[in-house]
Amino acid sequence: MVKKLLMVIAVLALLIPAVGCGPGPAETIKIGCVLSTTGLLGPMGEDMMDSARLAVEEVNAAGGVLGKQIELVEEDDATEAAKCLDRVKKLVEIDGVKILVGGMTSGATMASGPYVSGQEVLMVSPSATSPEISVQEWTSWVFRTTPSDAFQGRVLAQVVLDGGFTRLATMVQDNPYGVGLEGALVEALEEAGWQGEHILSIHFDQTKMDYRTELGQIKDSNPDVILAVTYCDDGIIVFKQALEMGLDEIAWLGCDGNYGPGMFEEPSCAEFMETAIIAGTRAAGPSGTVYDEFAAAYEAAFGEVPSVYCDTTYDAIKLIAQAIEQAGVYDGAAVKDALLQIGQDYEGASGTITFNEIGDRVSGTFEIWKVEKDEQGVYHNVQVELITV
Amino acid sequence: MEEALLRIREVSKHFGGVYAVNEVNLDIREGGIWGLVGPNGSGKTTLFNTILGLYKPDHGAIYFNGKCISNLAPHDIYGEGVVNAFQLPRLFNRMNVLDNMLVAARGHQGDKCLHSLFWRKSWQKQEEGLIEEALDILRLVDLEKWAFSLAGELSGGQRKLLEVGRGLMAKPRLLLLDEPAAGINPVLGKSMFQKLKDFSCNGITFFIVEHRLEILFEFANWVYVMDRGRMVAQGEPHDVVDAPAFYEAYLGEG
Amino acid sequence: MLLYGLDFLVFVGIFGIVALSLNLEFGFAGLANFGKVAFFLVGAYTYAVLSQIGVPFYLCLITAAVIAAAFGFVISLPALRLRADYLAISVLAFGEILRLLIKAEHGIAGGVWGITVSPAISLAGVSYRVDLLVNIGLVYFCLLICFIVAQLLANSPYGRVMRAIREDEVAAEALGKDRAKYKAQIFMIGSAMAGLAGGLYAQYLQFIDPYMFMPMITFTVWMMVILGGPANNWGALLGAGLVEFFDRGANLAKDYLVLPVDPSNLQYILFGALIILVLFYRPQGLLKESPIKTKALELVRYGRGVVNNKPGK
Repeated sequence: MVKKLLMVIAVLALLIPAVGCGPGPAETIKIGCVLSTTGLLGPMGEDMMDSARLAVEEVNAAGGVLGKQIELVEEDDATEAAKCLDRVKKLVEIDGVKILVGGMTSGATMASGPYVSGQEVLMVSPSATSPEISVQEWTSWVFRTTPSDAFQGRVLAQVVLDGGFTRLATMVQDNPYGVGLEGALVEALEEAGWQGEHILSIHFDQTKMDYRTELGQIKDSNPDVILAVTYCDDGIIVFKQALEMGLDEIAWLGCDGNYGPGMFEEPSCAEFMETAIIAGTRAAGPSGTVYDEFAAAYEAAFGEVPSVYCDTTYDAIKLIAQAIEQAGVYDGAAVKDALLQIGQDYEGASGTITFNEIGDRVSGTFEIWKVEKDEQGVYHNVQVELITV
Repeated sequence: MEEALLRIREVSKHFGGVYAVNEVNLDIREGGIWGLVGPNGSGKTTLFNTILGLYKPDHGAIYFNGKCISNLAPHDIYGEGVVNAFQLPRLFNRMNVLDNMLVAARGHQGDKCLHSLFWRKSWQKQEEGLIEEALDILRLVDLEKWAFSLAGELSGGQRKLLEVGRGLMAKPRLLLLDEPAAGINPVLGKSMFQKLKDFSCNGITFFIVEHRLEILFEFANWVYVMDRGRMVAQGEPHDVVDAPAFYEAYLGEG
Repeated sequence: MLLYGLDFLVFVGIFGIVALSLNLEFGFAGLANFGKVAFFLVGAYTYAVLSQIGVPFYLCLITAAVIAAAFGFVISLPALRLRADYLAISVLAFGEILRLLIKAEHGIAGGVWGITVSPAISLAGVSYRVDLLVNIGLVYFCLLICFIVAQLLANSPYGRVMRAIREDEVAAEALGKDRAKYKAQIFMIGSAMAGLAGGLYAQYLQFIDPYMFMPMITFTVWMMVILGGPANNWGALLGAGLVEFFDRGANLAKDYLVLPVDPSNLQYILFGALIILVLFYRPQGLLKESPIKTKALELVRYGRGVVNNKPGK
């Protein structure tokens, strides 16, 4: 029995590398894409992958890059940082990829950074927001189409200052995104000499189904403004329960995570957002037309509206394609330089993108949004103001 | 009169209100074979388990060699010199017979962590000696040929023999045997008891629970009788057989 | 391809050490440690924090092992007195608590942001391949030490006591073995090994965060031990190799084979099927339990030809 089992294993062992050896057809330009299509962030990653596919399709339809079609080599890291590194290695060493979109989380990016810099592979992350990435020695090989939270923090801080609020409570996801944005807001307020107090900080688990304990704590602490850093799924629950608990009397601040029509699928959540949220922030373009085009194309292709970070993923692919064209050669270093060149005041779906010398997105035009109900009773996000930071 | 090796004073053990052992007193003096009889459920095994340290007596105290052992952990009681062979053999099934024996050995330097990592030479000789001893005992109980077979593969009777052999290997001062001849054919059982008698001349005292009274009566110096948790009779075998309490215990129960 | 293969070897080496440690605890001593990842995490974070303040790598590794052993000892005090299933749950909970503690405490160990780790041996200007080979050298050196320790312990009277505790701990206790002491010792040694592996892992990835130490790692290591064969150190290594192979192989396979299932789920389906197959058809694992081999035993059995091994009855 053991012998048979070992034979089976041996055959499998031979099969895989034998079949797998050698690079694929050289007629395509490969762009790798490592996102979390399964695991904790699976649903978000799926949508982002769809955006990437849409972008690739559009570029290919327009003639491709350097006369060839783009091949999107997709990998899933199951929302695990170590797996992301493994997938990146696989893409580079087995598929011969030199440019890729990834990692999805800051952790995945931090894990992959040393490797891509060592291998001179360009990586563009659509969603890693940790400021830690900027201070690493390998950071120039990792570009980010998502703006650093520091900017969003400043915009939010301005809202707090303008509103004359003095008692801030924060309810944020317990991950680099939530904690980071909270930290950025607090830091910006301190810099501006705010006289108020950060009375309560809650880091919550985004997978829970019930937040009444946390909301109760907020109610007890009696703030006059509350920052909510959530994604869509947890945000819906938070806002719905906040409405139930009568917290819509207090001013709330939203962010890019809870922006989007996905939030309005739950009527009480939409109602809450309309009444309670005085301002939410989001990176946006001056006219937003690129976003609208993208959103329309996305909806047409996939039947639903794009969720958070879909726009930055779309921009990442489009920028990479353009950079390859500009560089004229499929080489990590050359494309990196080209990307830096073209990534100046670039009009993307996620707004105006400008990279600094280490590849961080420093521009920003941000919008302040609110939720309003139109005559038909349908809720929309509405742009109130544009701020350039 | 020298002090008894094992002294049990007013020991009781109950489980949820039911007294398995009820104010038992007994003395075992050094040397020879001591018997414990009584019908099923009279508390013999519970008494053994209490002596062994698996249970703490709810009342009373147990002294061994002058020292109170009521509150010692079983491995410490082993250290004092009290070893047990369980009624239902508790063998190490996935280890071979010889290894089962060797676990019982007293004071094996190789048992220590650091000695097995660094100072291996220091116990190799000791191990060889212990293996010889183990094989000798196995020969005694006719298990030598199965030294390298897994304990789990032995037959029921062989398992009992190994259990007893392990107890002997432990070089105890007092060896408690709980129905050692159960499941063994009478001829073999008798010859085993003969060998135990020989061992008792070497300084091991035996305290044996046995249902087959004729065997016990041939070899035991003194017999205790238990019934429903209490000590109801004791004496030399031929005296005990005549005692009314003895009949009541065995026949009254039906 | 070669580079990917070398990377594979590093992972097999690191997880081989963890598998050896679980094999010691569960395979030989019967301790169901369902919180293995906790000690892996402790070792990784200890290494990370120390390396950040400039401690040389060998000291970092040794300290990682020692601190993990200390945690092992502490958890053994309450946990090992519990029945097997309660031990399992409590150690599992311990691991998760530690992980969440680190996630919440931004100060010490980076919290949600994680912590960067400098590699143990970094030679300036060498190629990635040489770097990989250096890591392989370091990892396999540590693996060798752990393997030797595991073999020495297993093939000794100490190994006999371990197995006795696994088979019937009450009987072992009655035969003079202080089971609490032995269990604590074995748990500490196993935790030390896992901590060492954690340190190697941290310096190889050069970055760790709390999300990298989920309970799934514990279960993956369990799979390695069960598949390879409990109570066999070679089996533990074989299991580590096979599980890691199937993990990566399943991902590579999706590019070349037409699969009936979603490729990202293939790996889990494969593992599940593997476990079921093993438990049904070969519960002792691929490699059988290794018998105790001490010099004296070998002498007696083969040297003097004392006994022939007849099956019982």
